[in-house]
Amino acid sequence: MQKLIRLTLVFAAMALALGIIIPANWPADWLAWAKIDAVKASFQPNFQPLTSPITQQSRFAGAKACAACHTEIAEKHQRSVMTKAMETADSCQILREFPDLKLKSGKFSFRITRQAEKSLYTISDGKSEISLPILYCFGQGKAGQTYVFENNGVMYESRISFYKEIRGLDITLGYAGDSPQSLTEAAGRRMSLDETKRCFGCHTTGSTASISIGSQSSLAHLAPGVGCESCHGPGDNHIALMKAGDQTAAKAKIKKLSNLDGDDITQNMCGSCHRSVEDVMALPNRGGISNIRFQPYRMFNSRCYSADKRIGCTACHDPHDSLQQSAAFYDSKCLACHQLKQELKPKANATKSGGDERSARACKVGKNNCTSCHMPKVDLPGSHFKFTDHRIRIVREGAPFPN
Amino acid sequence: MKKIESIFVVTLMGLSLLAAPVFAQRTKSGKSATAQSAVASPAFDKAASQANQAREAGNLDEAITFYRKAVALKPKWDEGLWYLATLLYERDQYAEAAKAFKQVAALRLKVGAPLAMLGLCEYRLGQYDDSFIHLQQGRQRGIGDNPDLLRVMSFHEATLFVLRSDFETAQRIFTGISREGGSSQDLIIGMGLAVLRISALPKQIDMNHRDHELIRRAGLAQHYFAQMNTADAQTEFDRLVAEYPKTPNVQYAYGRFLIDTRDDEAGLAAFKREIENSPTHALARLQYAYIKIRNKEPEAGIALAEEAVKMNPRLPLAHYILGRCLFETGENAKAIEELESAQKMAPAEPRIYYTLARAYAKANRRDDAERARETFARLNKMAEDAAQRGDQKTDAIEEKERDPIKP
Repeated sequence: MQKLIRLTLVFAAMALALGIIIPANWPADWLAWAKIDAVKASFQPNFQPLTSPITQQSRFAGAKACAACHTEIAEKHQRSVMTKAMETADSCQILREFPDLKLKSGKFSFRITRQAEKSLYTISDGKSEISLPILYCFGQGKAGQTYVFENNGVMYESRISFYKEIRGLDITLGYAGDSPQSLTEAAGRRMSLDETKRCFGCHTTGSTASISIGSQSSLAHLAPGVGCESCHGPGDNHIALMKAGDQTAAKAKIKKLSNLDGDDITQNMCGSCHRSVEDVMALPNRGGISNIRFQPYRMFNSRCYSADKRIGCTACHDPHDSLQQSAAFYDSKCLACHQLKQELKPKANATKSGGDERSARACKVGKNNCTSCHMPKVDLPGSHFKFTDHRIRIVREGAPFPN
Repeated sequence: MKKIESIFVVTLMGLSLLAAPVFAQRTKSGKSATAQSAVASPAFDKAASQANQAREAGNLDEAITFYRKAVALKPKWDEGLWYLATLLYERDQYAEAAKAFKQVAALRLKVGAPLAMLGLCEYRLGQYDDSFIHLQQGRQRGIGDNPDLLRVMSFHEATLFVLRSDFETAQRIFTGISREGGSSQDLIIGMGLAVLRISALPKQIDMNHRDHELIRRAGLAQHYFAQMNTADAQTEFDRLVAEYPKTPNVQYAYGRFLIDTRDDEAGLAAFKREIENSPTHALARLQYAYIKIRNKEPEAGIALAEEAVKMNPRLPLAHYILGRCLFETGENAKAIEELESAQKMAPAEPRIYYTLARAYAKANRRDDAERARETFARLNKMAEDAAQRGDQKTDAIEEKERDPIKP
């Protein structure tokens, strides 16, 4: 205790002597502007999918019921990675493919072993160990996968994740620098009810209503992955009315999204899970390179965002289909709005060229591989993955990563 | 309070005791007032030496006498003034201590501790406006790595925020103290005052106060929640609303807790009960409206947000929430009107520009949309940079001139 006091006093004296100015952690956040009355705590990220709130009048029918009529698009969607946003441990492809995963970090050893259709997560400090069954696997594995387990009736997020690039385990993003003091701490982080709802709300279909505090059993009947009803809303009433032959009423009971503009799609729909601007602004310690993961936020910061209603997630991505990888595919999307330099016509002619909506400026430098310069891939430290920066801009060599 | 005070006394003693080497260091460089005075005034030198000896021997009253004499001979002797001030503070002589701290602050422009101490003296003297200003200035100058002093300052600042009716900021500071392990009765009472939005100081809510139990219980519930002990917080809040169902702001506080734990339906019900209890409660209306926006039912929030604007037309938040409701329901022209009103009242708030940019774009006002988006990007970057530094942006905008605060 004396040593502690002495240290405190020494620091105090040093500060006094040197006149150290530390950044003032002055409390005044964005809602301080409301001043006399604010509702800060209510301005939480909007993670819930469009389907919320789930009422008794609208129930989830399940992807199979949708596929009965919307066969083609449902089949296409089944191939999409969205349907793999979460898997239960027993059906997890990665845990099947890698039946014995190990990591040593500090004084703790981590291991995930497959036994029949179960995966056991074991943490050891050399003297003792704990083993817990993995329940859910979050992430389809393009970048990585993080695990959720239950301990004493509460959900936990695993401290370690699987990363595709290294084909093995490493510390989960955000945990680096932590020094766990116990096996339980080393195992992972306790998830609050709010977090549990948010995670399952985005990675499963129709789970939000069934989650109660720390109860695994309430999650037993959730539909893993992002299904039709995650975006279009519960389909039970729609199906019933279609079967009754009332098409007009049936159509009113399901969300048609094709009439939304780019901003609505980006911020309200996709942004519900991929983080809208508002969500990112509510994050603690926001800013810096970690923003790279939040595409709707990054996109809003693009200069063309306000200028063209076509700009939005679905301008380039089909949420029903697998993610396209080829540069040529994305070139065609850019050139749907931008002219090529050699195609430039006098302004008067350009406006008269019937059917040509390519009013956006032509690139002065290239005619293909647009994303390499305008939407580069950025390595997010600790993620073993390069994320595409959705802030569309002219990237200058050596320029710092723009917030 | 006692725990906080005892930590504070230890810190103060530390600052006092360790000031000697600090100033001695400067003696070697030939800049110390003591060294200069050795040539100029043997009387000063003698008084200073006697003061230091008395202090080191623990004869504090004697030390005060000699320091008074020495600083009278050499008014710019910062080291002596600092010792004198800290010793006077310990002897509860706050008026004279404040005067001495003020002099040190004027001599040591880059050090925040004297100003912070001045603020604490003024707090004791009931000069709350001055105390608030000096605590802030002290913090801005920098206290150094002194968590104990910072915690004491934070507690007093939070109580002053309560007194200024800035309950949100107060609550945030109290939450930080709770989270770090603070649990004094004054902290609990302070949290109770903040959560129930009662503009008073903890010392005013003694055991005999009519509402002591109500405030203590509300504070305890919030304290549990701040410590992430949601189960006990839930139990305490449930008891609170059962026993005080009609008391103003009890349902509101409960609603805030419920939406923080994502029980939106119960939160909405609590805000409705608060509106029944307190028909002019603008914030309960805005909370309700915001939950409706968040849950994709913005049309259900419009009426309440409109009422909040009518009740409090100079509250930018009310215009913002109404603007958001209107924007989300496609009433774009009206949304722009409300958002522009909010923007005029709070021109440095990036969120307003975010929604304005979107609303202008929908109205095909491309230039306005781009300007709003660029303003958003600029303000947001400032906020992000501040967050990266571990700092907070200070874009607080006063809605009106504040009256001097009175307990």
